[in-house]
Amino acid sequence: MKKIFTHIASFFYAPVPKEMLGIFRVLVSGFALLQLLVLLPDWGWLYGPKGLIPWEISDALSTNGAPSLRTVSSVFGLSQNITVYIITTIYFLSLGGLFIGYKTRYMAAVAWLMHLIINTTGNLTAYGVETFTHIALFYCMVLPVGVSLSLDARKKICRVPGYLITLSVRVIQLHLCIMYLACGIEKAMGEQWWNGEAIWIAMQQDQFHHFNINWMAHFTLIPKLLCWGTLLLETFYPVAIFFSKTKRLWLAGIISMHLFIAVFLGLHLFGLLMMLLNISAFGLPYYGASIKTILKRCKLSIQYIKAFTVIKRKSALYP
Amino acid sequence: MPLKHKLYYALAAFHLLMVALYATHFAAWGNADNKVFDTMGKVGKFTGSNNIFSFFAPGISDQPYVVYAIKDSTGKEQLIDLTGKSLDFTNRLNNIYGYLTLPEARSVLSASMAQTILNLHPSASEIRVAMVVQKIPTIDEYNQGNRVQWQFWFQKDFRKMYPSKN
Repeated sequence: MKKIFTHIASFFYAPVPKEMLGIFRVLVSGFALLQLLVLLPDWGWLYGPKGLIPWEISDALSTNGAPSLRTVSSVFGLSQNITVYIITTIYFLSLGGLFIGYKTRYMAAVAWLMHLIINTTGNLTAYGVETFTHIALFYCMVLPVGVSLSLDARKKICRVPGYLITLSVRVIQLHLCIMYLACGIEKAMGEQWWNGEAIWIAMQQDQFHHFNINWMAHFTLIPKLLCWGTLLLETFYPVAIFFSKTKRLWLAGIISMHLFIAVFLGLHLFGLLMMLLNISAFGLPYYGASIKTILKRCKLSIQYIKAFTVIKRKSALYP
Repeated sequence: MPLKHKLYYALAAFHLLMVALYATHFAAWGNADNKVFDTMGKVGKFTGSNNIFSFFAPGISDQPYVVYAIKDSTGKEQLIDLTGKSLDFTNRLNNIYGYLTLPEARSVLSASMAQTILNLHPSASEIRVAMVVQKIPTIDEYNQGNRVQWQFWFQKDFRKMYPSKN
């Protein structure tokens, strides 16, 4: 019993690199900026007052009472189009501030609020990617994500105790664990994920039909293995991602799964965000050493190439 | 550890408990129509802890698609395929089509989509919004020669009441 308590205490108090939070902030805000730029050509359709769903209807169908673009427009007496421009600009600037880590907490709070407003209006067009962007921006607001890789961190000494950095990282990690476990169990309750039909149906649907997979019908083991692999990766994620012998394999597996979703199902933004969240939550402690070694080797190789070029030039000057 | 930091640990534990509860469809457990559930739902909306994670679970349902047919004052008909400029637009449009499968949302959402298309085509005076659903054969059915089919789901007709300003 004492050993279990020691393990739990160590899990929540033992120091973790503070760079993990910095990487989380940079990747989340970078992703949100990219998403904004990707959606910008259709911004009016998705969030404009005369878009796919008029504001009156999206507000009426929104069940949570969160502020929307229409609320902002009526509270501040702004025209509807001007409201969209202002909120979008503030969202863009706050994400930029969050990315570089300038007044990090304020920028995160503003970015989170703007995202909430925009997506209350666009709630009927929002899918999983918005759910996770909202969660990630909330964490950027409440967790000390500016302690590393930020302008704020350069200006002042980090006053956040190590155990709060650990707690922050664990909250992000455990949220991912709960999500994957729930996903895995819910999938396992459906027959389609056991007989391989889930992958087959998903990839045959027009929405996701980016590649011809008719050949799979003759090799039924392949869709089955893909489905079983997904069940395995998701359901056992909370255990395997922390277990020393499986953690690297599991992280690589889950990233591959999201890469598959991004490429083969056309859910580019969703797949990318999930990959980035996993990388930021687990990548540094699991692959940090390997990345450092690769970078060191790259540096050495560059130095060798430079030295070789200098010798070659000199030998050309003095034949 | 100061009390403030102990409080942070307690808040983190409560937040994760909420994440876990909602992930198990907590809101659908029983009578969710009381103040406690309502407050938790609102807090969850702001903190991101009130989400369910039923992505592609427990199975993948048939894909709905909407076809728009417009007619101008001369009676000329045209089929419209609504597409956006960004890569993600179709994913988001399909999300709306998913809501169209709910009978209670059908009238208002199909009217909204009709309005959008009529705004895009000012010369059109009438529009038919028809929903079809893509039926994918199982692997066994496919091997027996069955192929993808589109089944008619519902249609709604709308007529422009006032001439377009455009």
